[in-house]
Amino acid sequence: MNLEMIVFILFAALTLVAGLGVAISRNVVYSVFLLFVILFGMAALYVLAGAEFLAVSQILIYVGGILILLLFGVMLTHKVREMKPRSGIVNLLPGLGVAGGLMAVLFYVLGKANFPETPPAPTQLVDTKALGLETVTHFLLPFEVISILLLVALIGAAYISRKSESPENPTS
Amino acid sequence: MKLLPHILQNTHPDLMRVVLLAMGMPLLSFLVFVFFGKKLPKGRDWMAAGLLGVATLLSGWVLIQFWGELNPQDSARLTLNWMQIGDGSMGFTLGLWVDRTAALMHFLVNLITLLVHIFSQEYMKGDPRLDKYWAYLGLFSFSMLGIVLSSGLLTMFIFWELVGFSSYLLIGFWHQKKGPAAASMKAFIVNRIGDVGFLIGILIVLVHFRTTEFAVLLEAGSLWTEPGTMPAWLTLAGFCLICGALAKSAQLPLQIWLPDAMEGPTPVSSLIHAATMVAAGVFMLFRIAPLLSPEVKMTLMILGALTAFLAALSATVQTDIKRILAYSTISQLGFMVMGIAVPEYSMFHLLTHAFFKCGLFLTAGVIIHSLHHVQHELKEKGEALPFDVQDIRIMGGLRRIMPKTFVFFLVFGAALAGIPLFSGFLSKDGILLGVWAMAEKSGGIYWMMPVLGMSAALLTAYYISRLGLLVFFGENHLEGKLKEKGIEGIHLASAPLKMYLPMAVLALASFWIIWAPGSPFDGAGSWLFPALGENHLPHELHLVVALSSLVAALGGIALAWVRFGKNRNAALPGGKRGFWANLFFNHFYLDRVYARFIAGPFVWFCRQLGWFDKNIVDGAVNGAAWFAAGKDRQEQSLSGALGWFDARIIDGIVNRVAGVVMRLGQAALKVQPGKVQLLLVFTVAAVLLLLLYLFYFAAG
Amino acid sequence: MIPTSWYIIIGIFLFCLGVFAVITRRNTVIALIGIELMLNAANLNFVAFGRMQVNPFEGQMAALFVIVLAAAEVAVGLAIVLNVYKRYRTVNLDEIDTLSDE
Repeated sequence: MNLEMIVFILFAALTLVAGLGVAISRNVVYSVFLLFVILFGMAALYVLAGAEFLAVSQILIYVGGILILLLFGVMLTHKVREMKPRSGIVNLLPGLGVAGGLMAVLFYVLGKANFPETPPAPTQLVDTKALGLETVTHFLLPFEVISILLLVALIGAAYISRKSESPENPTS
Repeated sequence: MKLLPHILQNTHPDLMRVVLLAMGMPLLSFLVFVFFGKKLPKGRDWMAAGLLGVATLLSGWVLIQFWGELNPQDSARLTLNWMQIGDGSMGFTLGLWVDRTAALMHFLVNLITLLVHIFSQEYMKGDPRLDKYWAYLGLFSFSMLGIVLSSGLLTMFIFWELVGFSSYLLIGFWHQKKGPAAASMKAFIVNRIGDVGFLIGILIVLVHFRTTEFAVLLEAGSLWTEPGTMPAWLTLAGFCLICGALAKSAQLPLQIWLPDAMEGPTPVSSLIHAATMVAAGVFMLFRIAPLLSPEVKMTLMILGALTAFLAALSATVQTDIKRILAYSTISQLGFMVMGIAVPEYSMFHLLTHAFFKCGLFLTAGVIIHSLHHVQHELKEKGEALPFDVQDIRIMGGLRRIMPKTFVFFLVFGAALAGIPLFSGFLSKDGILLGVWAMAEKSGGIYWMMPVLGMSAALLTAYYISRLGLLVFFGENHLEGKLKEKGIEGIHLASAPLKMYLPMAVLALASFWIIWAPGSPFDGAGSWLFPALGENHLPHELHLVVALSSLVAALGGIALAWVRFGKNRNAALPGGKRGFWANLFFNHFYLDRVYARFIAGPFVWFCRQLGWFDKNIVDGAVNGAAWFAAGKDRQEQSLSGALGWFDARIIDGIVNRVAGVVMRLGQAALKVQPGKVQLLLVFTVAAVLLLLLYLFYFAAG
Repeated sequence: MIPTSWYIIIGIFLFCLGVFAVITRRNTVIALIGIELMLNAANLNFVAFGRMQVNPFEGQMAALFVIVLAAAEVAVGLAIVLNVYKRYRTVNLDEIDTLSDE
């Protein structure tokens, strides 16, 4: 058990506890902020796996973008006076059953799977520059596709959430 | 491994380029009109026709190539490897196959579609959704071209479904009206039943032969001649495959959609009935004929003969001009299916029939068009005289008012009735000869085919003469009615010349001269034959068959004359029909039988399932959730349950006293249906079950 | 180096928590968060297994693309949630049951 492992366990525990909090917390705002903790914990795990750039983008995109969006979502869908937006739990038994079953199956697969526990020594330094080069060479097509997808999603989101113009159907 | 489809084989690249270009024209028409239809300038009607015109010219060039440059047995093939599964021995190939038959059909489809385009310009003038109409027509002919050019069952199935879909669009073109909407739905669903069979058949063939390419299958098909070499379940595959053809070509027991499909615009009907859609089934049978086992062929022939006869019976009593023609088509298709014993004659009949039936529909279209005009003028004048523009009981005497139409009708009708010197005689005669020869050889039940066929031929002559006598002779009932009401200044007018142009082309092709210039009385002399298949009918029988079919045709006409010649004004079958007439009129109540014994139980079954789902499954799941949930939820659910109790139980007691006890329990159980998330639960649970199965059973 | 299976175990836990959240929470926003959890769990797997690839970029690239996808998904998802809220005045999934036949 070296220092790396201890740090890993610490961050992993933080992530999991926060995840549990997200899943069962009654307060919607708590859930969103706990997601923040999870994302930070995940970023730390990425760093430990040697993916620094990924960790940074995780924080930039998720915390900077997605989390803010989610907070806005919560605020816009709850009445302002309601200081503690609450959210109940439904389907508890089916949820437990399905999630538990899934976990059992996944652990079973993990037990049966056969892969080396320690990766080989990296042949190539995975730094930001190398990643950038790789993006515009090997992964150019996925990169272009994903940018188009982003554009489409952007337009779609703007279109869906715009104010309706047609007077006969004011709700949509 | 190549992920994208790639070309495996391209035997005649130059020819294939032209074929692809010709095929692309209707598709282009579809794309242009569906996306930019509204923005196109005024000449857009001619643009649609122009694109089809180019396609017709190109396909004509291909046809000439096949008859001039290439050997009779030559064919151009373009095969694509669609995808690879497993070790690649299973051939998922797509492709085009142009041989002489395909080239003929290719030209025919393009030509008929072009004529229908020109006709539609007048008929559909002023329709607000005309751009969509052109678009749908383009898609329709494109998919039909795909069927006739496809090199294998897989390719054919893709275009087959496209034809089904575009016919749905066209039949339901006036979807704001109730009738067309229902008819298009019916056509779609009935075709879907056949398609299921077709798909299963394709899968069996694919598994067995590792390919669906016709060229390979046809070689394998010759194995039927040696009994025992083909596995028995290939017979099953044959039965499955013909299901598709029976549905598309409107044969017993799936013919019920075609008469209703008359709800579509008349040019569309003519297209569906001539070169596209219904022809697809017969063409498919022609392609796979060698692959069909004797049992399957036997079934097909019996079904075809029965359909030919029964539909002809129904056609004798209809009063709607388009329905008469619709039943006539079913009957003629019955001939073709029956002729699967001599597939080359089936194909021949398909070709000749395409022209005169298209012509008949256009004739009907002209009449309906001018009646529409009258209706329109009446409306503008504010006169109330409701009539059905397709009802032959208001027609009559049109010989004087529309002499051109009458002449065309005579030509098309004679071809349909099988009068010598007309095209219908040549091909129908060949089919009858084929089944007759088969009956002489095999005897027994095989005699059913020529007998039913001859009777159907007699009935055909009878109903078409009846139609002619009632529509074109005697007094015009509509004008009589107008006079009675004292409405003046409204007359039935002849149609514009543009409508007659396509009909002239069709009429020309209804004479023997196009098909067999050398032998007006014997279809065997046609120039088509080396291409369609070797002609091996016994020549000595020909005279007997030709004479008896001539007698049948003349007999039918004479019968019609006796019945409607003198008292044609009075003896209109209408208000009261006898038992038999009623039976025929409703086509043996097949619709009602199906509704009662198939659709009814099915709907009932679905309702039961729905009830089970709603009350038992949801109840149980929600109940479990309810018991597990916290205290504050219980308070909520109590009020919810009370409201539910009120709505369901208090009302329910009156209706179902017996169910009260059970439903009380459910009232407590059933809280709020969290539908979306429950669906997710089921989804994940299903995935889990699948994984479990994979782990414990599949992996061993 | 951290053993790969550790990452996978964390991934499994996160994924199941995500599934649990999506299924059991009434609030649509939290259901969206549950989806984010699942995506993150998948990312963890990508990164962990990506360390063993010959090409060390593949795993991280996939993870990057997933993050971008998640951003797109949240944007569209929230737009839909806002619309749903406008229409039904609630974002509770169990009250939005127009799909049911009752």
